[in-house]
Amino acid sequence: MAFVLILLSLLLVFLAIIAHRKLLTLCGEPQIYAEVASELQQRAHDLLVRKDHIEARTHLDLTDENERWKNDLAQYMEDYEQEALARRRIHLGH
Amino acid sequence: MLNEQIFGILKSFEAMTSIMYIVLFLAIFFIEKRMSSTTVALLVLCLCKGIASLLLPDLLTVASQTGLHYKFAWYGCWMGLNVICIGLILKFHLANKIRASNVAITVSLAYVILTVVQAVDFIDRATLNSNAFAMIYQISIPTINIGLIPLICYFWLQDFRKTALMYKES
Repeated sequence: MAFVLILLSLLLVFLAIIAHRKLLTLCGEPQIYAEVASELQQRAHDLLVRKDHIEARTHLDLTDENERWKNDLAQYMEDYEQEALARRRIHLGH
Repeated sequence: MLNEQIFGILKSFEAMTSIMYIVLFLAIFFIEKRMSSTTVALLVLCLCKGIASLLLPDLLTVASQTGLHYKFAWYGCWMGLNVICIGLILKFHLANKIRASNVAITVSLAYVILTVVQAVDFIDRATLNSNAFAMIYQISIPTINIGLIPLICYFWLQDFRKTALMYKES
């Protein structure tokens, strides 16, 4: 009799710990967000590198290259804003 | 002597905890104005306190009888209630697809510790009956209940500051 009751109480403790661990998995940042953030960071880095190249070069098709760079920058900013909005909706519920 | 004094102070503070939980829940709910992880945790906390105060008189009469299964009715009921509360917090988070905040984690951890304390005291009573844990049991449960209040305030203010910073950017 006592044995069964002790087993039952241990079972309840394990249930509590399992539920708590499930809750812990909900608290971290999901993997996909970290991947998207690192991709955005990489794109920003590439844009800056290209800007450096454009500034270093002083010959020929400067205006054309500059225009293309500006377009890419605008595209990047839009992506960044969309991502930030999506994140805010998920994390803050707005 | 000293222990009795501490116990008396703890008892008088613990009577206040249910009111404090409700005040905290209402205050945070009116500030956040939505169902967030923090408000869910506090709601479950208030619910648990309500159920506990309903069960307490009946359980006291049951537990005062001699016999191991009557003792288990007391301990098992509290353990079951704690498990249900953790499950409720988890279910609310899953159903509303919200991220668990530090407040929810703290509340759930407090329930886990309470369950462990109940189980340890019950096993002690069922096997050795040494009453070694009776003192720890009586002190730790009010301490956890009272200690939750400053912890909830601290973690909520931390989260609130983080949210305010995020809004400033946009």
